[in-house]
Amino acid sequence: MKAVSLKGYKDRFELVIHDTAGFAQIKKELADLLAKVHEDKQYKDKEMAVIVQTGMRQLTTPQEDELKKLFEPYPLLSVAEFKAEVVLRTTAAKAVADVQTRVDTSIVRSGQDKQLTGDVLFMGTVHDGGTLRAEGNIYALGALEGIICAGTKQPDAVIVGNLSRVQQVRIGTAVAIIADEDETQLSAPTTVAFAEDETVKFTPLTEFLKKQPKFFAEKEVF
Amino acid sequence: MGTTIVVTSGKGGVGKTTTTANVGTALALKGKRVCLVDLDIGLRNLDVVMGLENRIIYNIVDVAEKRAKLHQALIKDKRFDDQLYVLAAAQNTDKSALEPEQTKEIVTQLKKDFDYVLLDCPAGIEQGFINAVSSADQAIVVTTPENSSVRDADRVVGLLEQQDLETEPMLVINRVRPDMMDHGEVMDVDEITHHLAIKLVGVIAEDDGVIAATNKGEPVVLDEENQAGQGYRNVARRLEGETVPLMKINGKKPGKQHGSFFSKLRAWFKRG
Repeated sequence: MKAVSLKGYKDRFELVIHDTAGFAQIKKELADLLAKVHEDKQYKDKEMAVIVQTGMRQLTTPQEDELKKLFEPYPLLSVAEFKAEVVLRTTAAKAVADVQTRVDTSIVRSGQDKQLTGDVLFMGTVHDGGTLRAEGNIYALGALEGIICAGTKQPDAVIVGNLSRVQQVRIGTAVAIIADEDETQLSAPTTVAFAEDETVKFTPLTEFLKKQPKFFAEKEVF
Repeated sequence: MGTTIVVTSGKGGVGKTTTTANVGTALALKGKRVCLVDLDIGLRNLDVVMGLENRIIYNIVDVAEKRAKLHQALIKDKRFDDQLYVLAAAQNTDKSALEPEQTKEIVTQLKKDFDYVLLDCPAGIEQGFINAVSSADQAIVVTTPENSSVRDADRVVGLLEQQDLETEPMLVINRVRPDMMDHGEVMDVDEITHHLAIKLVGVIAEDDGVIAATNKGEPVVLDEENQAGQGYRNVARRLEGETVPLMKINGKKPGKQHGSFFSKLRAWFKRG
């Protein structure tokens, strides 16, 4: 069985590296293959990106570098991406962490700045003068005062909770000073704050669900 | 080995020094050996409140810089039989004159000889605060019912929670005026305690007697009739592990004391 095979498309190659082949064999065959492609008149003077498919094998960075080196004599061919059907545990853990909703129960006191990654189910309290920040959405069950910032890495984030007593709501770069807001928008037991045109908007949770039914749908990990 | 308690607040003028002096004196009245340490370097007050200003020969900076032995710098309160001592702050230098390690060394020595070492913390959260809290086993946070004071207390509780204290910080609410609380003009005792979410160990009434006593250099706890003094004695009892119910603070004018049945009932619930 061959260790490498190449599929040509209009502007790119897909290089399949068979996951049962030995690495030395792969390198040898790839070198031959690239030389052949180089001589092929069909691809003369044509820039082609190469996507390397490694199947059920995850190459290490040094291995990837070794393969990339084989492309160096052929400037028209460049490795665009390595793709595998498997991921490293660390990558998987990070991906899961990114979409996981974290539970936090702390008291954020005056002068404290609590920064959390991803989405947060916040069951603690934020005091006046304290700041709670999350990269994603904040779903708050506890008493909120102080400054609540969502979406530090995700401008389409929302804050769900009772926002009537907080000092400021920030989403991405948009800021709302609650004292200046229309109280009726904040009087519902649960309010959703979201950013629209660089301003923070408030709406009762029930209204928000009608407008954006898909917002709370499950997310894909990869 | 004794316990070191830092008395702190963040905000100035809420009664740290008064609380240190009175809780310390109350503990001494209960037969404990107590040393009060003034860490407000540059703006010492504790000696004045205790009426010992004239007796200072050496201060804590003299001890830290080895100009004096610790026992030479301790000022004995003659009203008590070898129970109560004060270590005064220096006046002619500032907070940076002491390092946390130096403070810790002095406090460790004091703990061997005393049941309680009370540290009177300067206002603010800078060097002086760090000196004081890094030597403490426990902390008393003093606040008044004013929002600005509660806010600073909250900040300080947050900072104290990052220290390795033996127990969670304890709360003393000072200068309480029940009339203002009843009218909703200031946060009431329950609201403050609930907001700060730490253990309440004392509620001290606003009382003219405190200022009068302070000016005389006689801590108000020595006045058995005074309700603020009573409040401080209760703090000392709670520190000693006794369960003492919160006392009823009488802040109303004499004629208004006998309110309706319902107002009494409401007041009774409020003070739990």
